[in-house]
Amino acid sequence: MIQKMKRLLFVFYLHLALVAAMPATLQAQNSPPPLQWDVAAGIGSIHMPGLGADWQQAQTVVYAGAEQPFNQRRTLGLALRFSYARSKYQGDAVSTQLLFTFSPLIANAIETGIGLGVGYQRAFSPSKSLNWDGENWIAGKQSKGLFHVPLRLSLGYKVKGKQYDFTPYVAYQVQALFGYSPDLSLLPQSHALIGLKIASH
Amino acid sequence: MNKSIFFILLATILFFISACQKDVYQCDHPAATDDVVINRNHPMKDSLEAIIDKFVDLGIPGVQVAVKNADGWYITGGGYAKIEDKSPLTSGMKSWYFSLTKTYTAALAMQLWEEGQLQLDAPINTYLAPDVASGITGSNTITVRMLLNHSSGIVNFTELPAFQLGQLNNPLDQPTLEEKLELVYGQPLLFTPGADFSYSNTNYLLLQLIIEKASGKTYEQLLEEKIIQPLKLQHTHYNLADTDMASMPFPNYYFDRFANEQLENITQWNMALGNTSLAYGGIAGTAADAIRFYEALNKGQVVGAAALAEMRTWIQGQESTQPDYGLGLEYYQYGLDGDTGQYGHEGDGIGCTTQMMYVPANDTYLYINITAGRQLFGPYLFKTTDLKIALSRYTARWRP
Repeated sequence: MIQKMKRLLFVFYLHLALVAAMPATLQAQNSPPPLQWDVAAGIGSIHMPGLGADWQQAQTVVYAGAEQPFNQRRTLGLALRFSYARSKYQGDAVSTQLLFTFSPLIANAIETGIGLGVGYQRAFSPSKSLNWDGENWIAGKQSKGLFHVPLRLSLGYKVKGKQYDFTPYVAYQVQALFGYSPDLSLLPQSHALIGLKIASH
Repeated sequence: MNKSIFFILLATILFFISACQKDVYQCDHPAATDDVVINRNHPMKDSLEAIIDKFVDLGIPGVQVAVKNADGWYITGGGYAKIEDKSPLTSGMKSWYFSLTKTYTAALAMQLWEEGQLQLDAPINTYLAPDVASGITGSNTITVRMLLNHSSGIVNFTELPAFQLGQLNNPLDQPTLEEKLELVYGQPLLFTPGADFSYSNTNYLLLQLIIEKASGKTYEQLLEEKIIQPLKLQHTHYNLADTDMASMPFPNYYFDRFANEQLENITQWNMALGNTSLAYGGIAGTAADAIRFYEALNKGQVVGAAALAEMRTWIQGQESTQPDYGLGLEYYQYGLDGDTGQYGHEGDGIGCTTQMMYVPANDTYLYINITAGRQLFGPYLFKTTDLKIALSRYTARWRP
């Protein structure tokens, strides 16, 4: 429980630092664009194109986050996202990711996007683990912290409203996990997502 | 502030949801009755148990060791059949032999050779169906012998990313023989056939098809008719039904996913993998039955002297410092200077590692089964390998 609280505090302070830092980078502008909220859901698998593997046993993945645009057209930004990915056989995972995004608008409506960044994942064991303490078998560590590099490609359609802009989108995100185990590093993960961005004027 | 609270709540919910642990892979198996008459005063007893105890104290979850020589049988073990309920390993417990199966497969091939139904130096496209042969690079130059002694140069499908990712995503639904072969179709050879040695499960997957074509029977039929029944191996099994697996006395199996010495119970995964490992790793049985087979093989009760001599004709890889492999037999040198080598086979699943070794110098058979996998690099690769080396070295150097 104490370990969980420490991790929760780490996530809170990280978020606080990032949210506090974002507007500071835009002090040169008269009015920094407001945050854009982002939620998505889809399926994920241990997969990467080009390895000859099939997309198998895809399971649920959900994302929630916010993006701070750097310019009024919202083509450049910094996105902070949290995710939960289900994996029955290899263990669930929670992640926090920070991505620089480039999202040019075509014909003032079609939003393409690419994001690249870094992330921290807590990968959980699918079953209880055991550890030998020298004399007895005791409950072991149930998760491992991993860094990863996410790459996201997205395609959306911006719908402008009176107070808010809505951008439904589809996205494909591939991420390479470092340090899963010496033989499985880098371990690829792929997520296919449907999402919605909401930005106020 | 509302935004911060939102993110904290979200993180909290996500964290606690995903922290829920389930037991995805555990199995319960019945206890096993003794299989052989054990010599409780066997002269190797104390040393074997000392080695076992040393490694159990280092975190080996379960190990079963069996020896047979002029002093009779001794079967012992350490740790647990299942850590969670501390159930003991017993002599009648079965386990997946994994690649020890290759010796059985090679023996079946050599029986067909003796009967004139199989030519060892014929190219494999002689026996493979055209659609399979056309997918295997070099099938017109790779011979049956090259499959048997791993000098074909064909890539090992279990080392391909596609196979490994499939294992992670779908461990209880193992690929079929055809799906495994498709992984290697069109893959370039590692070297010119016959020029080097590289262990490859694909070789014995192809041998299954060749044996079946040459004999007109399934591998399962041949194994039953030619080996299991004649040798009365009552505790040796292949291609088990799910209900049979659930009722048989298998131990539980463990693996160190993150290479941080945290063991997970992956029994169902290991069982699924073992039961679908076909002619390259799909036989299960007791320690005693494994020794009975190898003893019968050495005594000429499975194949004749000429065939046995072929099986013990060793090849050596270009980077090797000692012989590597015969036909279905691995070469070892754990003995004293001047000793002839030992031979047998090792086997590895995702949750266990096995070994069979025969020591000609003291006419002793050694069987080892450890219930922790070493397929991934990490502390348990070294613990399990060191245990096997210690037991093998002691057995190879023991003198009455």
